[in-house]
Amino acid sequence: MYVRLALIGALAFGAAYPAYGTMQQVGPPPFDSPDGCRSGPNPRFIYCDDGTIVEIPGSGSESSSSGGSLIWPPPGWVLYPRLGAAPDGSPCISFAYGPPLDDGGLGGNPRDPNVLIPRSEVPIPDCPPPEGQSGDTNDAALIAARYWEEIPLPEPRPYIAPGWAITGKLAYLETNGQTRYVYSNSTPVGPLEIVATGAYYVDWGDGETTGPHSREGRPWPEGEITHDYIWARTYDIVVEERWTATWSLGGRSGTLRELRTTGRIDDFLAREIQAVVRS
Amino acid sequence: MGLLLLAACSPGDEPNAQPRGATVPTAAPTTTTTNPYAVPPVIDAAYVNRVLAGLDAVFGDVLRTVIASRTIDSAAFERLKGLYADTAQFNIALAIIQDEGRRDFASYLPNPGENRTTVAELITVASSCVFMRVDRDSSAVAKQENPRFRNQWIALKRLDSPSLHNPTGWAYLYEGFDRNLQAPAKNPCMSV
Repeated sequence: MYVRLALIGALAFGAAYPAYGTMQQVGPPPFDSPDGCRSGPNPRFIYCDDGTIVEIPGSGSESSSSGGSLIWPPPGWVLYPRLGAAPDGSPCISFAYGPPLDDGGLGGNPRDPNVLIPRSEVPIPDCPPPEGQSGDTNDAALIAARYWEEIPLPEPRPYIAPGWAITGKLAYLETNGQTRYVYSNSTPVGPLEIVATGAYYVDWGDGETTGPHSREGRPWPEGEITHDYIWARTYDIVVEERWTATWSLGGRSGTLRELRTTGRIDDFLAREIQAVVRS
Repeated sequence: MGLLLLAACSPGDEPNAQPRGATVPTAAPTTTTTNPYAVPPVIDAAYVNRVLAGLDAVFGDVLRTVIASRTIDSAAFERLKGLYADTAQFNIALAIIQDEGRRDFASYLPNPGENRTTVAELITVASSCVFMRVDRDSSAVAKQENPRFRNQWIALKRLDSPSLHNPTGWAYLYEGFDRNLQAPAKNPCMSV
């Protein structure tokens, strides 16, 4: 007996949508039809051919009662773009619900769409609707997810005055970004609003990392993102901003997946200063 | 073999050269190329195990490539597609890899080997389709194997034409189990 806990959205599509071409629908999976499921390396889940993911009891942290009750989408799950194959075998993109990431996912890959395809390749079209389904172009969660994948998010532009640091003294990182970003646009089902909140994570280049920092980094003396370099040499500093967001549209609301933007200071110099006593 | 012989007969090998005008044997050396995946008169478990091992090897190659590059490029896409005779089954494979990719492939071993899939019971055997229950050992691939996932069902469909990406000549028509981890309700080979 397993728990039908976690079920994913399938994808269907139909009419053209002004900004983003065809739109996909995510609807409750057809429970009677799927007959094919497969295990991956994760001992907790199996994946089924209707796009659902089923959590297997006895293998992890499942908490739902058994009996086939449906929680869809499961709490905390968010929409991810996903590479798939159209009926003719050509690659296409769809959206499907997936479990939240434990650790933020692919590290160091800002704004990665979490579809493991090179972004430089020819744009991949949307997947067509499954056979027999027309698709719902007005799914609010899907509209919000599509916008979230496309809107430009603020990027940190890190700087440490005066352009170098002194070993043994605090360096004050200025992030020069935003930790809140509000996006709105009109859609066929009403005004969409996305409220994004960013938090900074800093890799100081010497093996130390700090974060999350929920406030902007500012210069001395009020700045709160600081670091003390020990050794005099150059460092590559990476400032990553992880964005979480909520959306509201047509009386509905939800959470969007995490996205990231980054800024860098390469070859940042930490100098050593010695006192010289002259008689 | 022929290439080896040619390489051995370099111009400097005069002592071994045939004297001019000598009669040279014309019978070509017999070379036997054995295709391990050629369909035998009787398809038995040993043959199917060989095919399954070939499919496991291709999948292992694709998996290692994707993990190393953190990308499903078009070559990996095509190679993985070559393992499946059914788009829905292929999409499951893609979904699993991508969901694991979002977690930086944390459920996989650092340098994964290959699944070891072996026949437990041949259910339907035909020259165009084989349906079976298998034992799939993923201990060389996954960090933590769920023993409940070892018992699976596989249907292999004979490909109409050989694939560059899949040397076996067979592709998965069905792979896995139903939602109850049991055999599919319908024999996939019945639709072939």
